[in-house]
Amino acid sequence: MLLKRTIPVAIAFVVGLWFAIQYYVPTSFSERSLTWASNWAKILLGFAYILGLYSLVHVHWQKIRRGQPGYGYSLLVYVGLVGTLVLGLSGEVQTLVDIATGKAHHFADFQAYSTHDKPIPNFSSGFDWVYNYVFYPASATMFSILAFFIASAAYRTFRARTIEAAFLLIAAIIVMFGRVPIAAAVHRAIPDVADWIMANPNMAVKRAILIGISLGTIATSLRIIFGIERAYLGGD
Amino acid sequence: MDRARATCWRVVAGALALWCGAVAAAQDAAVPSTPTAEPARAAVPVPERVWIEDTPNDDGRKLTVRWLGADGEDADGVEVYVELATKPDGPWLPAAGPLPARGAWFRDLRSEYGPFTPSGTEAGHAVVVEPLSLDPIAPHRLLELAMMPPGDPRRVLGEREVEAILGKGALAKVREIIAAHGVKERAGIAGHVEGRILEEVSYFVLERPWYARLVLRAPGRARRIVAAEAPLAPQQNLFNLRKLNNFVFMVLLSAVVLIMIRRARRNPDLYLRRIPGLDAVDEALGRATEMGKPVLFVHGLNPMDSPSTIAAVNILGEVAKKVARYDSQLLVTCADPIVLAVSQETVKEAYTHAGRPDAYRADDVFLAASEQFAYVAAVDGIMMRKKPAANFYVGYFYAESLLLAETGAASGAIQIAATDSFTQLPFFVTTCDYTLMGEELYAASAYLSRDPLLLGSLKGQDWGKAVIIVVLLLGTILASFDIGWFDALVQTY
Amino acid sequence: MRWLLQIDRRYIYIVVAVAIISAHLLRDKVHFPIYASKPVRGVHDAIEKLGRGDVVLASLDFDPASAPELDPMARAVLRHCFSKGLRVIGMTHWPSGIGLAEQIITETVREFDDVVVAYRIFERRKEARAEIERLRSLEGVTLGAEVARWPAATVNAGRARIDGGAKPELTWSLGLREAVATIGTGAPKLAKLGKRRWAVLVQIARKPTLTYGEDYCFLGQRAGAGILIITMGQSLYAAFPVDNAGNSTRAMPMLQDVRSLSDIDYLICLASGNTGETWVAYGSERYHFPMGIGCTAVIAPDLYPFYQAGQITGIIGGIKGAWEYEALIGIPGSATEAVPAQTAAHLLVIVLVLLCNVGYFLAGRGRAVAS
Repeated sequence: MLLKRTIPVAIAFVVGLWFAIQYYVPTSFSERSLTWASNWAKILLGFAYILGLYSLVHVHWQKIRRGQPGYGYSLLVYVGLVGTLVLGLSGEVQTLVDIATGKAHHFADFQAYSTHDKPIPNFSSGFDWVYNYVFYPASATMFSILAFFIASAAYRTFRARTIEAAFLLIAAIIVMFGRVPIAAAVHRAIPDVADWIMANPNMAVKRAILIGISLGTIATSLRIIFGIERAYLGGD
Repeated sequence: MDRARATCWRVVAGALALWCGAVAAAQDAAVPSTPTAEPARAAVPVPERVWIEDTPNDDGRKLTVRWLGADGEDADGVEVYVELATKPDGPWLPAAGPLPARGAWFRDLRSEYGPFTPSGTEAGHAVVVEPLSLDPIAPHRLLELAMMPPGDPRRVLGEREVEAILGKGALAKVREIIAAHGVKERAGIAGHVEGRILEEVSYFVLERPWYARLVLRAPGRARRIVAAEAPLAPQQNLFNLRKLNNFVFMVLLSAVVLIMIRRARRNPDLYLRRIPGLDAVDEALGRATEMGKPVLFVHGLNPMDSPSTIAAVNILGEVAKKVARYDSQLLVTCADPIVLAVSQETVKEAYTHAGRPDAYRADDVFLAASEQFAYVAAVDGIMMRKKPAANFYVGYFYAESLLLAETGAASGAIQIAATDSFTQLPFFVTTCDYTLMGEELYAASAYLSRDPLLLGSLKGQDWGKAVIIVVLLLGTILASFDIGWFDALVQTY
Repeated sequence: MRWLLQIDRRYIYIVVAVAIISAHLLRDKVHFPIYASKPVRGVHDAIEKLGRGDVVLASLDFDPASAPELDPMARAVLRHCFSKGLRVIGMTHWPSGIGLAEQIITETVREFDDVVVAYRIFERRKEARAEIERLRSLEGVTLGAEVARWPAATVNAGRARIDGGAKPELTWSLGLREAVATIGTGAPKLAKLGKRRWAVLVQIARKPTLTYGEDYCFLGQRAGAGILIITMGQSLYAAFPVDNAGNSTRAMPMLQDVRSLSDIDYLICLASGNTGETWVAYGSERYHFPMGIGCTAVIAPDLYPFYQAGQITGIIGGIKGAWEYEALIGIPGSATEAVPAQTAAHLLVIVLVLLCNVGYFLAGRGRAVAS
């Protein structure tokens, strides 16, 4: 109880209160404490990545071991993980060997670029290949699926069921049309009207939501600082 | 022959330059407390008074040099340079300038002083200078300097021992070299400890007095040098007055929330408006149990320090308790390893709380991927293969929102989203059965748990909102009548 | 009419694919009137106002997924900066964006190389093509001997400049720009100079005009977002002791007078997430420098409050924003190529929404709701 509840709540209280006040204190100690805390956060994140990696590896290993449906995908996770790691490390090792044998400049050497002979990076190492020809297109593909999903979602749901919905529909069509270059060709005012809708009615609503969110954030922070909300410690 | 002549000229020119430099240096070295002038030429006007002030609201790095006068018609074309030194007789380091002598201007002043700009500043001139920013930094230069014998007259203009706080907080004796170098004869201070360059020059003990002087120049007129009245050490300030309004509002709002929590303790029956999305949680879990299919809880991409993620974990705790009671399976996908660790602990505790510790499986709470679209691919894959009966999207989402929710809709799951990411709200509204918008995300854990203390904070939030509405109305009315003082009150710096 | 409301989503996907692909294939045939919105002008004008040697920090905070929208934007802004002689510091907050950011900066810098090309002018594309084929079949040495007799000119694609001889026949065109920017050693290129004028180019030499560490640098990535920005505000060298390649930032000539964020003259943040807001909150508000944000179209509405409050000078939103920026600097790039496809997609969504509402009303509102 002491380790799992009292001490974490005490830490949350002290640190939370200090960093709430720190924002208003400009001394160098205050600034340094922020840097210090951020460094701690980075170190913790480093260790947490080990946990994350363990979770990923373990979950997929279980799937492969049990031969669950779709375990082939889990095998792919391993291939990707190990393959990228090997390619990344081999590039580093190669660079070190080149530097040791005098084939390459050490980039940390100031002279390397002061003599204007810094080579243009070539994107030919294995790791770069994976980045450029696997990660890049795969991510772009996922993102571009949005175009299809937006069209389908708009088609299924954007109906003028009520007067309010009809207003939204008209506004949406103006904004969508105003966001393409052809709109200016039809009428110069259309992009301006679209901008007006975005900057005024749309903004008013967003600000209202934002104020609510900010208040919610403040209340949540206070609940955590004062130990009222303890779900993040794993229940109450 | 030509070559010899050129060399000869060069020597003569060099000697001339040296002589001019020596004259200028002699002039600079003699810093009188009264204005100096060359009688032969019309001199530039001199200020009535020059003095140094501590710049407020800072960490002791800045000083404000102020002066009165020297801004009449005879100051046309006059340029003012501000120079600083750690000794009354120099060496002088250029700190600001050229600045026009005419006209009242307060460079950087408003952003430093905020609403508490000292009275009378309007009549004079002020400039904020940062003594420590004068250090030259370039390590190859510093190394070069460090290699030279300590008293080398060519480069090193002076040195002393000062105490410095190093990056890790240790105190050390530092040999400080004041050097002029580089083609532009820029001068600076270099910190040097046991032959090693200081990583953090900025952590010098700052409370050291600095001398200031103004150099007034105009083409064709004799320049004047005026020293400031007294040296001053920059002070660290304990409170940033520019943020005073922000601080008052924070204290007020926190007080309101805490008072409401206190009141809720005495009177737990608080009215809470219905949130249909949260009422539907039981329906969704019931459906999952009936169908014998899992419940999928999808975290947003933000890390644990984001308030929306903290709110998501709070909701996860409540959902997990209900899932444990319904004896259904809960799958939780995370994109951040710290969120993963916290979620695992939360779900485990929730199962224990519900009396079903045996039903908890650590593998059900997992890191799907830490990259945005890899995460989408992983979660979408789970949706299509396992066909969960209910999907929860809770936290802060980016472009992945529609990709997740549309796939979820296609898989036929009942979907509940809760997010404060307002750009993504339209996508969730169109594809989910229920959407918790903005602050509802933060209210959800209170709503689900019905804990009076949490409900009290909601009431405090409402009071805060009431205050903001009043401020908005008041501001709109006053601004409409062009009354400016209110604007200054809510101004941020 | 009920079928209109029950179209399988896969048919919609096919229609979207057909519309986008066909619009992309026909991209050269469509020309839109140039129109630059105020927010885009805001970024452009702020950079335009800067003087030679001023420092622009370019925070390229995106990964490959959002590169289609942000890559053209980044290139357009960088071209603008380099052509004005500004110094550019590149960085990213995204670990997955390091390679991309470095690639964009390096490739844009290469556009500013002085490239010495030997050229021959043709009046027919066919002949020029045949010439290229002939040159490709030659050995390196023979190719060199062959082009040694050709006239030569020094072309700088980034600065739109041709130097050489008294009267070079090579005239400026976007085709020439494109060819010179991508030409490599020993690989002849075809460039369209204008109506019925084609040039076959062979690269003889290449000399960079922008120097790493003096005119531009790439700091790479560090974790920390807001905290990183605060650290940069205190000391750039503390935040980035070394750049992406491991060079000491303290020793870098261009960073001698750029010690912290207070020393930069403009910040352009190109972000696919909310890094722009982080820059406003932790950067420009604390350390007082002007900044502009480029973002994906979906994020743009988020940034209007900052724009209206004057906290940022402008917003470049999505492909359309990038297209407007390219139009403003007069160098068409990939955004200009992407705009027709985007226009088609927008128009298609509008048509689909109208169609589903027609179906909704024709089928009878009540019954449609029940369905």
